[in-house]
Amino acid sequence: MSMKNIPDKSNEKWADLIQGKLNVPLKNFFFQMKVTQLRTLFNEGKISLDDAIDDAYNLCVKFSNAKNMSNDIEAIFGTTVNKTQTVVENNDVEKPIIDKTVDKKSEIADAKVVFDNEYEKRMAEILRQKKEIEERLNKQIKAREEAEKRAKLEKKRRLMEMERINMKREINEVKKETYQPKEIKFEKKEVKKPVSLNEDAKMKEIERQKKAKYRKVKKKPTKGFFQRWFNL
Amino acid sequence: MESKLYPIDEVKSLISQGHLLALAGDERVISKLPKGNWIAGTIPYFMDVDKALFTQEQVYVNKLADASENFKIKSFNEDNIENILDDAFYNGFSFVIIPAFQEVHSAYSLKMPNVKNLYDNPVVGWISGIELNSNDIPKVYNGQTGEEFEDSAVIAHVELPKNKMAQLDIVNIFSQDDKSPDIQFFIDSFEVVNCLINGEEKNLAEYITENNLDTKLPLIADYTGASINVSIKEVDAENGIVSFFAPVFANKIYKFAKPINNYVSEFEINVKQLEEKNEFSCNCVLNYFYGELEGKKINNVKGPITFGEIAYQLLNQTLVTLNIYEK
Repeated sequence: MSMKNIPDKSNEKWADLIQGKLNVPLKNFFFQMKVTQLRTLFNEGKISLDDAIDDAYNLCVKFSNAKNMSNDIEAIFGTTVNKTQTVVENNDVEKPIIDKTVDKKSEIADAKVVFDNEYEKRMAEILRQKKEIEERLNKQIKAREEAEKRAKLEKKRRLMEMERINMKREINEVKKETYQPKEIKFEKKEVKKPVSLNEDAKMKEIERQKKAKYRKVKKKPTKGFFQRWFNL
Repeated sequence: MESKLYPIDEVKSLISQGHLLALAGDERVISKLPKGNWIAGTIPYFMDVDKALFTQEQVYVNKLADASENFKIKSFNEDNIENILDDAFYNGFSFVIIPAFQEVHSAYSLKMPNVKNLYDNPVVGWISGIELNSNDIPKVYNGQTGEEFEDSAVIAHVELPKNKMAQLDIVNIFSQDDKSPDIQFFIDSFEVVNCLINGEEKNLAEYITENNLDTKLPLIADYTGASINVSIKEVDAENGIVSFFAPVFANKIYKFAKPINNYVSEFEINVKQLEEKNEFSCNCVLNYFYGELEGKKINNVKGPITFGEIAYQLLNQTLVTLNIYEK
């Protein structure tokens, strides 16, 4: 993929991509991560839309040969990539030239009709573009306002969550400091006299104790710090 | 030079050739190496040529650049983390090794995603660790100066010729479970008390306990098509706190992952999309243990088994690869 195939920064899909209005699952890992970063920075008001578009565009150009990059560009901008869209902002329309040698009235009238039609067409196109620019600007202002509102709410929530974490930590500390083992009360119990065992029963008990000791030796070693960390 | 485990004498000989090397091994062997153009981190778990294994006697070697190429080695800590890529070359890549469970580890994972020049070049690397049963401490090394760090990280910036390009890729065998609720967090943090579960504020530890969820499965966020995992370290139901191996971010929507039946076959299916040969790869220690990968082989994937993977930002339970190819 060559640089020529990467649409110009004025293509509005760049803005839609950064603002999250265009949600295309991307394939190139670098581009996936970069777009996510720019969206986050833009939503948090840490980068302007123009700077974000510049950044994304410049890195796309730098890594235009990377794996899957052409697929991603195609997915965003469509198979037929639009050429640079030059927005006409000047209302002074160049009027079509009328051939002055034509002297017949009807021909002049025809030419006037052609002229008027062309003029109207161009004016309509200018107005359409003007309207588009206005709409885009309004959308950007609205998006910025919404982002600011969201940021305020998130900030409030963040503070609350931090307070909760701190509170839990303090409670844990207090628990540790104030922990006192329960007093154990021993009650006197009537002691039963041992029943006399026959030799057979004694041997069985010795065997049981031997087995118990053997089991103790076989016990697994205590888990180390990192083993406990990993819950293994 | 093939990337694989080498005995210490061979590693010494490779160092003497002056190439830039990225090394991984137990501190008992790494600390015996002479000064040279290398950076290293401690770890005794590896995916080698034949199988995944545990060894404290050999060193895994990746050649990052020829002796004749341009490269720089630097160290950094949590205070200057946002400037670590300012020294990077225009065309190249950066290789990072960070010691686990230190300030620099959490600072990197929390701050780097917002660093504007993070994506100017591939940033790849890993989090150093230790044998899980030991009381060792994760370390990293700057071979040029002979320094050993427990609380700082090392980075090597490599310049590539104009006709070459580096690219990162990840293999994540996990995917979001469609049945999982949407989970949103209030702050960027390694610990969570409350969060929004399908828009309703709840205690995450209670939710996980009540629903008997498998904590070996990560939470996954969608990064414009890339699935990024955050693994659960501990659910403290008594105190209502859930802690993670990487931070969760407030601006993302997370879902629990779908269960995995067979780690090896899932990896084998997914690594097919990768290049045949890569310059570097690493896989997560959680995949190694949860997936019982010891003694098993996953196609041609080799490299250290790590306490966290870096593909620009910190990842969990993910296989990361770096490829260099002609433009």
